[in-house]
Amino acid sequence: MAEIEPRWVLIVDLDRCTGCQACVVACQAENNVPTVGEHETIEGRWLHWIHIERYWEGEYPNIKARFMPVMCQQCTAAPCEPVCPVFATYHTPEGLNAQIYNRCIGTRFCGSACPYKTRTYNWLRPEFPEPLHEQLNPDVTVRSRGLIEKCTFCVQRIRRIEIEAHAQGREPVDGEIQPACVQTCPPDALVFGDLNDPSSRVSQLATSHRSFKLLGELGTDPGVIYLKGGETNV
Amino acid sequence: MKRFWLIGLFILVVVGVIAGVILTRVQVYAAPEQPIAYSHQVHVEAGIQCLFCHPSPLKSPLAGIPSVQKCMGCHNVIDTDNPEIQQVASYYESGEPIPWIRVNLQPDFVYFNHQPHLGAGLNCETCHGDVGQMDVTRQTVKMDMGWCLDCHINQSDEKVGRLADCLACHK
Repeated sequence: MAEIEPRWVLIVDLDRCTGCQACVVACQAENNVPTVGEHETIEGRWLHWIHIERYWEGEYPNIKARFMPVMCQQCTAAPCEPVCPVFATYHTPEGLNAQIYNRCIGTRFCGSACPYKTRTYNWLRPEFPEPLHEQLNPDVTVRSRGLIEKCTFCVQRIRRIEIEAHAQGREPVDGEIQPACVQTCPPDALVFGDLNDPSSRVSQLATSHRSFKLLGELGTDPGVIYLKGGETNV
Repeated sequence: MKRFWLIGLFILVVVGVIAGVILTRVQVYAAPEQPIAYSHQVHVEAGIQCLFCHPSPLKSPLAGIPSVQKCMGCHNVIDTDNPEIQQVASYYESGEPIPWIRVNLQPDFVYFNHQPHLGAGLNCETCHGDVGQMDVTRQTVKMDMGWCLDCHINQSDEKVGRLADCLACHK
C-alpha cells in the first residue's frame, strides 16, 4: 500500500489539442454513455462526459479556432458535494469526486452547483441501438433515467491496474493508468498521473509556466490542469 | 366497530410485511433449476478441486464456468451411460454451451473482483458456503451491502479507508 494516497490529475495541453473529439468518442464507448441525438441536444439534454468548447479568435480572414476539452474537474473543494441531499457524490481518499449512481435520486442540485457544467442528467431512458448494446463495458454501470452522471477519470481502469499491481506486490508505475481519453488522444495532449509523486510526468507538467486551472479564481482547486502558452493552436 | 376494523387492518399489514420478508428470503436461498442436474457433491467427493473447473479467481474478476469441452474431457469415458451425461454429450456434439443459470449474482452497479479477496486469504467457502456438500447448488448467504461491509469495515486502520470507500465496490 502507498504511504500517501495518490492525487490523480489530468493535464490538458491546449497547445496540442486539435479539437478532433476522439476523446469524446472514446469516453462514450468506455463509460457506456448513451447517445441522445441531435434533437435532444438542441433541447439542452446532451449527454457527454467531455465537451469540447470552441472559441473563435480574431476577425475574418485572420481567424483562429481554439478548442478546450472540458470534463469533470475533480475539484478538491467541489461545489457539487455539499449540495447533494443523499450523499451520492462525495470525495474519495484518492481525491476523486465520486458519483454513486444507485444512490442518486436526481435532484440535479449538483448539476446546478457545478461551475463547469460537466454534470449531465439522464432525461430519458438511455437507449443503445444495435449494434451498440454489444459493446457495453461490463465494468461500468449502465445508468437509468433520472440520475446525474459525469467523468470519473475512468475509475474502473484505475482500480483494475491497482488490483493487478498489488497482486504483483508493487505500486502502479507512472503512465500505466490511462483513462480512455488519454489512451485515445492522437496529438498526445492529455496526460494522466499522480500529482503526489514528484517524479511523475504530470507533476513536472503542472509546474510549467503555461499551466492554469479553469476558473481558478473560484477556489475549487481542480484536478484537471490546462496548459496554454504559444500560438500553436489550429 | 371502527376500532375492530383498525385492528384488522393492522394485523393484515403486519402479516403482509412478514410474508414479504419470508418470500424474498426464500427466493434468495432457493436453488435455481439448472438445465442439467449437476451435483457439486459428487464431483468434490471424487477429489476434484474447485480450481480445476473454476480456474481463474486467483488472477481475474470472475471464477469462470467450465466449458463443455472440459466436462467432456472426463465424461468421454466416465459414466457415459448416465442420461444426464448423454445430455452433456449432445451439447458437445451440437457445439452449443450449456445454458447454466447463475446462482451467485451481483447487481449491475456492483464491481466485484475475486482476485483481491483470495489474495487476502479468503477461501471459496467463506462466501459460497460448503458447496462440496451440496447436491443442488444454492446461495448460502444473502450477498447484500451489509454483508459485504461486515468484513470491509472491520479491517486494519491503513486498509479501512480504501475498503470502506463507496468506489471500492460501486461503479
